[in-house]
Amino acid sequence: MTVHTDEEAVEEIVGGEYEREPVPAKAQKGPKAFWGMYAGEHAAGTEFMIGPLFLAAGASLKDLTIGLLLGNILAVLTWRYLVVPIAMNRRLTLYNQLEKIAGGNMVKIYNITNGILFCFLAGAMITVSASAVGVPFNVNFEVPEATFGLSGAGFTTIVAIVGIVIAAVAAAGYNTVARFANIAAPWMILVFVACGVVSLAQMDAHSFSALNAIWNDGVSFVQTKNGAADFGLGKIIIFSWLCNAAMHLGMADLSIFRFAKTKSAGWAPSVGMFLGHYMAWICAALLLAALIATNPDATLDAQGKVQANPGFLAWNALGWTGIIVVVIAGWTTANPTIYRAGLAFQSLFKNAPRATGVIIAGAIATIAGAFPNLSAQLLGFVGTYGMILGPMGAIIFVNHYFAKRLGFHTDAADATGSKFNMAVLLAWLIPVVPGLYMILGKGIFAAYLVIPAWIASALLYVILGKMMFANKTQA
Amino acid sequence: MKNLTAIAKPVSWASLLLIVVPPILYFTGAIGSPLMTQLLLAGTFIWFVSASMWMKSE
Repeated sequence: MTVHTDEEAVEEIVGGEYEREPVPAKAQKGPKAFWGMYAGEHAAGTEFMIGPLFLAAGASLKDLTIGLLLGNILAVLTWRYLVVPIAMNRRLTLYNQLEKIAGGNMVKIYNITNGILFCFLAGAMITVSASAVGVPFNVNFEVPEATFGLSGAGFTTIVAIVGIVIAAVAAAGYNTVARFANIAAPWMILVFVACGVVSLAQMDAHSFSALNAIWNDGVSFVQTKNGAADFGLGKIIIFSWLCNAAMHLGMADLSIFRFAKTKSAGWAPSVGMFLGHYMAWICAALLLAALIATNPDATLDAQGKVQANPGFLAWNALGWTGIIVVVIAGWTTANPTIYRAGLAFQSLFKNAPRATGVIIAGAIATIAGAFPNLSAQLLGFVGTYGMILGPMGAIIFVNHYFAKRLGFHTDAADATGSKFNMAVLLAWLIPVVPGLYMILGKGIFAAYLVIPAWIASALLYVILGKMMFANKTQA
Repeated sequence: MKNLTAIAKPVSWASLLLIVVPPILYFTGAIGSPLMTQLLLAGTFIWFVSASMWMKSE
């Protein structure tokens, strides 16, 4: 995931120090640690899946290059101006901050929700890794129509093996994998560059106009086979801004920036965004464009539809290095994700062995990984993830900036001795439940609902906070 | 061990050239795909072996 330059600093940041107290001045870190950390954070397994999906969804090359630029700038600004000021003022982890506002029992619900979503994300990464493992054995995954449809027996077996190995390693503790991920990070970023350059060579695209024409042919090919789709500029901007909404709007990265010595650390996510969510996405998308241009039949599944098989795409461009990078990218993303999900579940089993939560998380992730359609819907999933977890950040935002000003308790659970703040639950669920209905029932693009849900939660917490936690001692 | 690290560090950074340069040479038509993929694999192998020697020690 992270750094190769200032490892000790980052281990302290991500390693669970000062979980129950504000970070003291002596433990605060300069911007360098954050730049190093974010450099590796966003060039990962998901990028191999998301990049090709843009082409498959019908995005034009011009819209993609401009949209990702604007969306990533918005994401960085959100980190810098929304997360960092609160993180540096309170210097608490997200969980500690939420506990003070929502109460310990409410945080458990948030943790479990987060853990389940993490499992699905890890499941997609298991699918990605398995897609690469299957290539040498000539086992390609078929994406069935049904969301919970299985691929062939061979692919499902590989998913099971990959999932068990990842879960077992995570259960043993992920320090070794974290160190391995650190080593892989600079190499992986350059392999993404290699993917892009080799794809350009395969397409014989020596100018932007030539590439644009080939890209458009690729989009037409996909739409002929899969049906019409539209992924315009606005949609790309919103998606790239909000695909990490849980981290910035949802304030998960409070836990990271509480260590920041200066506010300029808040610009550090830009390196992750522009390496991972710009360069890597575009390079990964070029893999599919190149395969369509050179061997379109190889992109088709048994039903004659185009599918993005990340393992095969990387193999087609880079040979064995492609297989290795997809396996490592998927593994190093899935492993810490399963570990974190396991920690969330562990809160339910206080007296059980420490590995219990991780094994449960690994089992759920492996089952999710066996359904390739889930990973094929990753664009929608990350939006849903942000829509569900983002609103918690709105509650933290209101608590920090408006609670005192509007005459109700800051850190309401702490102030009232409550273990379960009903106002938080209602302000969270009232926007999120209809949001989920609109995504799952009406097919609304999930990222579109992140901001409305966030604003609705903020307003609801203001209203409910004033009703339930009026601070009569205040003037 | 210190000497090994001193050697491993430049070797690992140099190995990354094997990830970047062959695709560029392939793009310009100077080398073919088989040689390009072999060089990439060699760069990958050298990187992981050499980087693991010094990254964990810093």
